Amino acid sequence: MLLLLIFTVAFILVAFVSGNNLAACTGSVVGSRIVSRKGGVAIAALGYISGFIAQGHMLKAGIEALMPYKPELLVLDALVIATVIFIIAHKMRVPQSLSMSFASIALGISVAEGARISAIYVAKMLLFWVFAPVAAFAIAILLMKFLKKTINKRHIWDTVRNLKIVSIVSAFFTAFTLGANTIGFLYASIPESIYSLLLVVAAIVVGSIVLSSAELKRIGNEIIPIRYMSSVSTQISSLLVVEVATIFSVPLSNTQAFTASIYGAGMSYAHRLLLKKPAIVIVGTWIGIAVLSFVLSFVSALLLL
Amino acid sequence: MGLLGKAFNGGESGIISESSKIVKIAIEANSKLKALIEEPTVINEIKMLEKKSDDEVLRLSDMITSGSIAPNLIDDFLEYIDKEDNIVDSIYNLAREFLRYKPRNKRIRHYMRSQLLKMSDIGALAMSSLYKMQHNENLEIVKKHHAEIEHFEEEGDEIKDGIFDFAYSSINDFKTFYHVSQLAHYADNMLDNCEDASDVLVSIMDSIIS
Repeated sequence: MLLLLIFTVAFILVAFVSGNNLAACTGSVVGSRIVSRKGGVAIAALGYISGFIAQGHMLKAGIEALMPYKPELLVLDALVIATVIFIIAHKMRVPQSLSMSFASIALGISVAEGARISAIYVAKMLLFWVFAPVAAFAIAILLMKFLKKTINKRHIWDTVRNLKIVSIVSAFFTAFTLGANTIGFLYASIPESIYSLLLVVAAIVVGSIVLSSAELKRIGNEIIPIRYMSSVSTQISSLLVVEVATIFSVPLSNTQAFTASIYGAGMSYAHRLLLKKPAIVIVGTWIGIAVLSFVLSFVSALLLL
Repeated sequence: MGLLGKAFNGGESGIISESSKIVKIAIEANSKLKALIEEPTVINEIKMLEKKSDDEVLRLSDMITSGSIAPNLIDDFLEYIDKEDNIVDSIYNLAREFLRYKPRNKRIRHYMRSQLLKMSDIGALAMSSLYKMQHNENLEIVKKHHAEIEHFEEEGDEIKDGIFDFAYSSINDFKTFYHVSQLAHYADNMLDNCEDASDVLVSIMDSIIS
């Protein structure tokens, strides 16, 4: 019974993550009409699944370090808390990071359990959380400078075509890193089997198709009046950072890297209007949600134990 | 170019290439205008071209809003084809005004004919440069043609100023004065619209790769 509940909640959570993060993965290619909405959904879903299958196992070390003991009841507790926080934050349109939230939940449960947690791993994870946005920001600036220098102004349409192709490829790999990192991290927390693997794949497909429509509608209207070059720089810098985190088995928020990259790409323009307030709000809510996740999971685990 | 290349190039370059049809219409209308100035005839052909240009604008607007153009460029593209259409409109307005009234003074008639023919010739050169801009993908060459158009527009301004100087010094009756002023404005509009369209085109091409 508990196992069934775990799988059900995991399915819901993975579906939500897949749908909700579609904007960060293929938003720029859909928003700039390089591909249609359906195309954007297909690219993201394929990217998620490929990343999850190819590299998702790398995050197993992460969950092992943060939550060495995984009794089914506490796994269910972790998934429920993560889902509730995710849905509330989503409804309130608050920027959030499921990776940070779920890692904090795992940590909170382990602290309540009195489990022996790898301090080195926690320190590594915190360093990634602090420096990954900085790295994404810097890489985006460097990429923009590189592209501006190397861009071919003699064959403008060839350049545009190449930028569009790179945009699609980078959108795919952004989804790939999310599948490997965030979804891989969630998968590592639930009992491993071919059925759970197929369940996650099904959740990715369902979430991408069913739960992404609102996000994709917002893209065209609100989010991405972004240019081809900045779109490419943003995607590549965020996916590089998340991929490095995946290699080190650290859960890292795609949206966190993506947001920092947007600021980095924006910085490279001579005339720019970058608002500080949204950045402060985003960082504040990420920290707030991480702390809330830790406290909620710690208290609930104490009650359940 | 392969199928993939065509698919990816279809958006912006396709619209710019298609929009050159409006400039072609403008070039044709300008040559009809020149014939009309030399030998006043009926305006029907220019009127039909003006209608054709309007139809082209409608078709292109549909392509722009429903095609693969980035939302941040849609307004620029719509403005661009509107400016192109304005070239044809100004030619039509000039032709109408030219036929509307015939100054009694032969010297004025002769002077205006010669000035309008000059403006029409400069307009033809400006439109030809605009057409070349639309069929070139080298931004440096596109900017060179843009500079040419700016130069043609300045030449047009000088002719317009000359017409006004002439009007103030040599025309005494209001009707003729008003007619000559209107002709000068419409002829200048034709060149202004060429310049405006080329400005927007350069801005679009610049922003696509910046």
